Amino acid sequence: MKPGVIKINVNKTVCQGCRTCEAVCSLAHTGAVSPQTRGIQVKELNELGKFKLTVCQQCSDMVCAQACPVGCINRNSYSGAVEIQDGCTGCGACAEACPIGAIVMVNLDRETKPYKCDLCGGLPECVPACPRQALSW
Amino acid sequence: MCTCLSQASIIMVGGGMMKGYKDCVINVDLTEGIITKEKLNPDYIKKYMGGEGYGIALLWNEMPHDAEPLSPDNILSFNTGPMTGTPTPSASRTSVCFISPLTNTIGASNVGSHFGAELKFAGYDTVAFKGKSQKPVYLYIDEQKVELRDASKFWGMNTRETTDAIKEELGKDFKVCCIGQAGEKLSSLACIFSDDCFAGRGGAGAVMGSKNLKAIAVRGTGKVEIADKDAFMAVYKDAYQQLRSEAYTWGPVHGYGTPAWVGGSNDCGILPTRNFIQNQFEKIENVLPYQLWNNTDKYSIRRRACYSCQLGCHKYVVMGDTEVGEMEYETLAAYGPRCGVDDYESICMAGYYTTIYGFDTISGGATISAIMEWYEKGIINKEHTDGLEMTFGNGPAMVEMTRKMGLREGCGDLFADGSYAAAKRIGGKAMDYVMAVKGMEISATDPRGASSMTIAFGTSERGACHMRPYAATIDAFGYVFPDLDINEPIDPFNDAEDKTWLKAIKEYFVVTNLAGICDFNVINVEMKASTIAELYTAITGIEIDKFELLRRAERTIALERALNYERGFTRKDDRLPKRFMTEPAIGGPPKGRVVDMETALDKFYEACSFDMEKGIPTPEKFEELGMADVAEQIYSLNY
Repeated sequence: MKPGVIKINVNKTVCQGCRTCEAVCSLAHTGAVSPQTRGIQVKELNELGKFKLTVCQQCSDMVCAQACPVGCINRNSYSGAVEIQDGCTGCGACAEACPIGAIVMVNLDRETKPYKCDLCGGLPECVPACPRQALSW
Repeated sequence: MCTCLSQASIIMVGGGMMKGYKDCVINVDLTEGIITKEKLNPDYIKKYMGGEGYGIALLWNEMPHDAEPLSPDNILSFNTGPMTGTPTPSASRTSVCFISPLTNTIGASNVGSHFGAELKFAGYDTVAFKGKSQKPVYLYIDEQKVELRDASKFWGMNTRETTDAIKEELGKDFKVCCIGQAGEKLSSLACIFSDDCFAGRGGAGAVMGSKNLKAIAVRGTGKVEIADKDAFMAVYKDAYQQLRSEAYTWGPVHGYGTPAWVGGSNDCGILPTRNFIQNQFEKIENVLPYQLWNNTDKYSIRRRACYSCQLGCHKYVVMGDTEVGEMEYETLAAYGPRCGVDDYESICMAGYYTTIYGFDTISGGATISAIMEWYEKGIINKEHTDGLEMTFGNGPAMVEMTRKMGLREGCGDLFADGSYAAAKRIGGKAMDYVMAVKGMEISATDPRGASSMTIAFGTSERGACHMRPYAATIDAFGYVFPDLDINEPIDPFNDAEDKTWLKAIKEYFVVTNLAGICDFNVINVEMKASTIAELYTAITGIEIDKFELLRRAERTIALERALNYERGFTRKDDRLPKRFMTEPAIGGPPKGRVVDMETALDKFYEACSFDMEKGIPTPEKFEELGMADVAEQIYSLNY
């Protein structure tokens, strides 16, 4: 895994765990808000007020793309983000391959689909939505 | 059987499609152990929007109006709003509605955390409980699976132990609401706990305890749909900007949390001190929040916000090995200046006991301040206090009394139902020192320094509550709010002033309870009412303007007053304790001022079109609100 440079950077020490980033991400990508369909994950750790944030590192070696049996994971030439494009069969190989668990497989409306950060096509919505400036890019 | 389980549920109201809601209610009959699901009542949504409005409509339409608070007849409902679960700022709220054992009026109390959003994601707007279970149970909700499960093994546990044990059993991704020992022991001050957030006031925890309902655990992975995504994306950004451009909100409150208010309240002479004998605290320096924050050798402050909250007012204190819990303005003011206590360690420990046993810090601290005044005036003595020296300023005694109240241990039994109930049992002059309205203790604002709070505390439908509305922002702190036609500063010392503005501000605050968002979007008049209307329209697809938005709050308030009236509450119950009318404020800007209660009430009733004696909307007003049926029912009563 070789993390990329253009990606969402996270400062977990100031995160307050409100999950606004998750909600905004879900809305921007699906038109609805679901705790599952998001490309950034906030998890509360065992210590009070400590959170773990997981988001795609837009790796240069694209481990997920290498694992994809149908070759539908590619780099967006405009944003530079690693994107899951048309043709996905929902097999989950990319999610298994990602070393940091930044791809989530979601079963919603009787369909299984992967969700990951695509930098919103170039201008990430979660970054300005975060009230703590925990996100930057 | 419910037909409302599809993820893409839509309610038809007035011919329109309405998203934002999940259109599904869980009804639980605890006596019979039967769970049913049904669609939302479209009439309630149309009139009262949701949240608190929905819960009050349930009480009015489905409960005997004379139901005893702790009887099986009482309906306890958990109501999310149409905005709960969306990225609207602080769209985390669940309104808990019931008949209050503390006041015997309607009870409406709301809680943040991540519980409400999870309930929406599981597919439900409301969960309503009737009856009483034979043995302790908790409600398990995992998506479409809803069951009552045995809670015998959790009975006797405190709030945090219960939450941990349930999560241990079900999985960490469940969100839990529960009661502690105070709720089990039916303390009228008991609250409902959800991850260190509380439905605090009015004794909701006791109602839960009376039904043998220990907790609700929910997990949901579905979705909340938005009618017009693009419009919503534009408006929520505008809403964030409105919050972030309000200097006090985005400065001290975002940083310190609500304790930031304590200095300003003291400066304005509205900080209750020693059970309202004083309105400023001479040792204020010792309780300013930076004293806590900067004392890093002893305290560590952590942030943990409710769902989708921009502000993040919740600040948690860790003192040595003790996770104290949230430190907020009301806890600090109630256990600090109000009891004459200026050491943070005692304030923190008192807050800790209210958190783990699960009772209201405002009424808890207020009751102890009354105990201290009774003790100093010789109305009670050490026999009443298990030997504790209950003088103003005695922090360790205050902490021990709080612990006893939470567990009803020894003398704690006498005080566990609040100062009003205790005064009735003590007799003599005890009632003269009870600073409560309708039996609920007044929270931490002195109405002598803010005329609007005379009305807020007096006329609040649930007892002396500072959030219906927190209008001291306008008159004492001097904010203007052109969105609701408040273009000039309002004089905080003039009870005879026109109160039309106050009616609008009250409705504006209640709107947040209907929508499922936090009062902290509006407490410093940050978010415009017109913006809330735009958010509602974008989420639900129903066109609404700010006037109709306020109208729904006005209807909710009218229904609450109607129910209270049926339960015997009239103008006589909208008055403050006589201390405020007879003892002038002794410091700060309001020095020398007393409250002119009757003038203030006249002006407010006039602005609201209330009957001057009955304290309910006139029949014409009910008619205008489309509630002629309610008017017919209550105007036939003779008091």
